[in-house]
Amino acid sequence: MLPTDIVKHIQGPVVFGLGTRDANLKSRHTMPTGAVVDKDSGNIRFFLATAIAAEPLADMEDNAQVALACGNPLNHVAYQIKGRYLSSRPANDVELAIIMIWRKKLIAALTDFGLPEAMAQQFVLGFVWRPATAVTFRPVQVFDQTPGPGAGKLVLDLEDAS
Amino acid sequence: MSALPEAIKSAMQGVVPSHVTTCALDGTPNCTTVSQIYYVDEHHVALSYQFFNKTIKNIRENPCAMAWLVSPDTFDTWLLRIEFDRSETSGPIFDTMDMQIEAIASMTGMKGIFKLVAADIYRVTEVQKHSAERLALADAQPAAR
Repeated sequence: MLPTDIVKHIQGPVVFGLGTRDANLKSRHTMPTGAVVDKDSGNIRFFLATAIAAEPLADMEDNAQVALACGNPLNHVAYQIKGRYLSSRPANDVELAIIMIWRKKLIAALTDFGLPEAMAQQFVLGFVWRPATAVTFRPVQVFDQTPGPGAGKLVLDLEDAS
Repeated sequence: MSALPEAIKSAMQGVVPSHVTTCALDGTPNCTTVSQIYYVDEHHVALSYQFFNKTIKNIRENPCAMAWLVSPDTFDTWLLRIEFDRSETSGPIFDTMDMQIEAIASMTGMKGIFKLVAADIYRVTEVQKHSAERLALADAQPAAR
């Protein structure tokens, strides 16, 4: 299971980047709009605007590889979680509410960082977010990505821990 | 090769961090944040090599990467497919990047953390304004959510 501080980080005001790859080892970037960690299974569910979900889903269904980067713009703390794709389906109303909470948290963080509120809103609210697709994956490794010489360090290997 | 449009230049000023995805030869993808992607010319960009990290390792064995950038003036997002070309440890591109990194570090409270080892130059093979990801500005206003 992921430790509490990493769960809080993932569910906090972070900017996400999803890395997937195709059968030819060409990587792809997609920006998720929020994520939540399942308390019982420890799996991570993140949300993609359905309008941009087809290609990363094809990648994940092909090879199950997931790399989810999440960085807090306020304190620069960042992690990357690598794992195995499990499933996807249309996001439900509760999950759309989670996305709305993520958007509010991120606007607040960017405003605290010094961005004018109107600009923070324009940036965050400008991402297409619904309809959304909920994607679930099993986290396997967590890497520190906070800028500095320690960036890239493996901080948690859940396969070793199990 | 694809030509970078004039409109993308503002996304390469280091105002909004960019993301870069790569893939290891064993098939593991990687996604990381970079403080700036530098405009070199209409067919090339540069990434800063500051620490020997996973991105650098992946690129040396599989030169294809994808970059995601945000224009700070319009918040348009862009996707670039790029391919590693060469690494420079001196010269005008290196010097400009070194100066820019110090400026960004100073403005984000990270002074002394960033240190440029090399300027990695990439060929741009595809450019896409990622319109599917963004709402029109008028639709992004809070009242119109």
